[in-house]
Amino acid sequence: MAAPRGPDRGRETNFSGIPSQISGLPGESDRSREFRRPHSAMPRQTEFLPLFLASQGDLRAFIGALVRDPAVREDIFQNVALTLWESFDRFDRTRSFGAWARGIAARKVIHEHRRNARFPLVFSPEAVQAVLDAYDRSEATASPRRIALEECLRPLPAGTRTVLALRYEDGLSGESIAVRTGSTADAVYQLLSRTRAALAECIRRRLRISAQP
Amino acid sequence: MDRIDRYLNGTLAPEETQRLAQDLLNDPGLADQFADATRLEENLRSLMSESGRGQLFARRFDRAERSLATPRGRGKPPSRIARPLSAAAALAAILAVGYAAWSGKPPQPATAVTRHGRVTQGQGADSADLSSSAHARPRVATGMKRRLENFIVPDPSLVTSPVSAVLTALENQWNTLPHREPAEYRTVRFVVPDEVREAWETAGEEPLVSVDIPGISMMACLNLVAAQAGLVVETTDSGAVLTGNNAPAPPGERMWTFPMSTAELAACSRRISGGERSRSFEPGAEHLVWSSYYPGRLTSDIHGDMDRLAETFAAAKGSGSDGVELPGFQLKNAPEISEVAGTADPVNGELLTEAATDTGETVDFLAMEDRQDLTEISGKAYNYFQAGDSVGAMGSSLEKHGINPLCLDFDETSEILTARGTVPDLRKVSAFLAAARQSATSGISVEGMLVRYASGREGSAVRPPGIAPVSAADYRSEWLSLRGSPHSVEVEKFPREEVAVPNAGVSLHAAGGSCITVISAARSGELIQVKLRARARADEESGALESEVSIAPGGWIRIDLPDETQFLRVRPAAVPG
Repeated sequence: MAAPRGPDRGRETNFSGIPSQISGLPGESDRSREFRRPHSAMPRQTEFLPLFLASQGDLRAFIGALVRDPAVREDIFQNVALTLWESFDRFDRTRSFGAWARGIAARKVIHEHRRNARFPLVFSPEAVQAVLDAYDRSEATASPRRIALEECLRPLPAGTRTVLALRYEDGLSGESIAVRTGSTADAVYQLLSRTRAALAECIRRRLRISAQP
Repeated sequence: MDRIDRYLNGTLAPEETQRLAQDLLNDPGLADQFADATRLEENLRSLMSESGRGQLFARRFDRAERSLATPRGRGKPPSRIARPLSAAAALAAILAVGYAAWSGKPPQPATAVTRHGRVTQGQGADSADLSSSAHARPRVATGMKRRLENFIVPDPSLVTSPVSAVLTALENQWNTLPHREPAEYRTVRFVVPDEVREAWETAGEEPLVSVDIPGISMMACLNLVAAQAGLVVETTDSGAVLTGNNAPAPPGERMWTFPMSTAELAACSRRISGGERSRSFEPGAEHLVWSSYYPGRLTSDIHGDMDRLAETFAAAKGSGSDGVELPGFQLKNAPEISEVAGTADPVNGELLTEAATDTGETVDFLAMEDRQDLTEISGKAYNYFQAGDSVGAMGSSLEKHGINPLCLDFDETSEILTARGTVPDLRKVSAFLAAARQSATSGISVEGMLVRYASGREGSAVRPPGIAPVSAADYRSEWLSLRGSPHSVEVEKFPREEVAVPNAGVSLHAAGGSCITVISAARSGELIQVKLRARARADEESGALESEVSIAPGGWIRIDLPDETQFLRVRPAAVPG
């Protein structure tokens, strides 16, 4: 980690407004110290953060494509994020950060599977590579797709939105959603499938329209 | 595609999954479909989640409550990869920023460290947890909860009042303020069960609570009340019930940690401390830039504030008898300020000033300059923030909400906020931070720029980004061409639906004798259109110099007057990066 900028990096500030460790700058009154503004982030973090933020959605999607268990998926994501941060100095700036991150995620997933036979990975390393290649091929459309999806979600009926929220916001299974909505699991899964298909078509349509001059 | 769909649903048999994996290997087209479908799923997960930044701590608060309410939530060893806090601290801060900001995903469970060094983690909101808690607790009315989370209370201003009085006041806010979806409006009741009231009567007093954070959701308000009164919020179809918290609080002190970036903390502090304003000017140019923050749907205060801002801080180069001298520049026409004392911080490039008004009131300013030598600042731009943007300004608000500020520490290196205290105390902190995060990202920020031109002077050097340089003469000619021909601009939609709009008739800005008045503010679905009238002289009888423009959210508009040009921009408030 890069060295902190200025003498106050790392200083603890309690919420009575008085710094725990006074920097003792000449000419500084006690009153004025209360107005000290927190300093900006460190350069390394400043460089890492935008790259990470821009690609973390796709990274989550990639990991989620391979690992279906939410808790394990989250563990892997956290692990990958930590590795990205620790290895950031070795990142080739001429490459795509997203591709680099997904490559590390793929290796992590395969490694975990080799290390632990109970690790819930159903794909072979070769299939993982195929998915990785597919993600790399379509990386450029990831952001437009997300924007298009936002638009496509708006006209959805309230009932469908509720089911989507239960599934994707609350992380419930089809069976749990069925109990809550007074439906059957099959009906819930069919609704989810139809909705995803409709959304996918809507996204394709919007991307086509936006691609037209 | 059907197999991919069933894979996403979790209903694809193992042998079919193996075949799918094999086909992905051999069929790049299928692999592309698989990538698209899984991307769609992840995007749905993040977009459907309401957990923006403001919800991060609210969810943590919910989980903390739930983990204490269920036996399996207590004392469960960490099920996930445990890392030393110091090693993951920087990453935690990064993840905290990105986690909710970009993906809208729910956060990781909070890490709690007891005084004896034992590390525990809260329960994630997985399906098993939800289903098990459904048996232990009344069914949550998710529809009502969603409505309560969507409804922004602009300015609760409830300080040290009995719980029942606060709940009544919140009900009134719900019933009198406009709703985002009027069709969804229905009367709500926020109640406390009889057994809780009886317990208060036995104790001889009803708890006093405060809800004094602007621009937070009704749900956050209720959580604040509940945390201070030792209750928990259960949403029902008709509103909410604040029931007794039956979960026994673990004895002794604990420490909870909350990832929080310095920028977010500063933004929270600014909003909580009574609004956020900034203004900057260059001594060499006759222009003024300012911005003000308004909580969601709070429109009534804009008028006077804008006027005062413009009149007080009109800046100009040169000396004047009523000018207030600071190193390298002067504040002129600042009748409210009679004395200014400046303190330089040469290391951090800050200029700390304290000003006294005519009435003896102290006004604090923090001037920021990213330079180290204050002797060279002449001619540079300065940004002024009210002193409320200091971390310490949050202290008084914490105390109002029953939190001892000394129990909180913020480490700027790791960007971790640490709270120490008993579990009930920590619940207050958690609810407070949830509300603070919401406050920091709600409402709108109004920014303006006033440019004055001497006769024949070029004004190309001063303009908001995105607006081409135009000479003062061009400004004037364009403005004149608008006379009698209302100028209207197509308006895009706001990203945030709860953004405030000014009321018709409100004067937004008055400086140099000019006046901008809101003609109409229409809200139709996602579309918000604000039409303004600009007058060169507010007191002109003729009122002939009028024009209408529309505010495009995020984009600057230019309002041209004979001797000056005003730029105005309205945008959703956001935590600075």
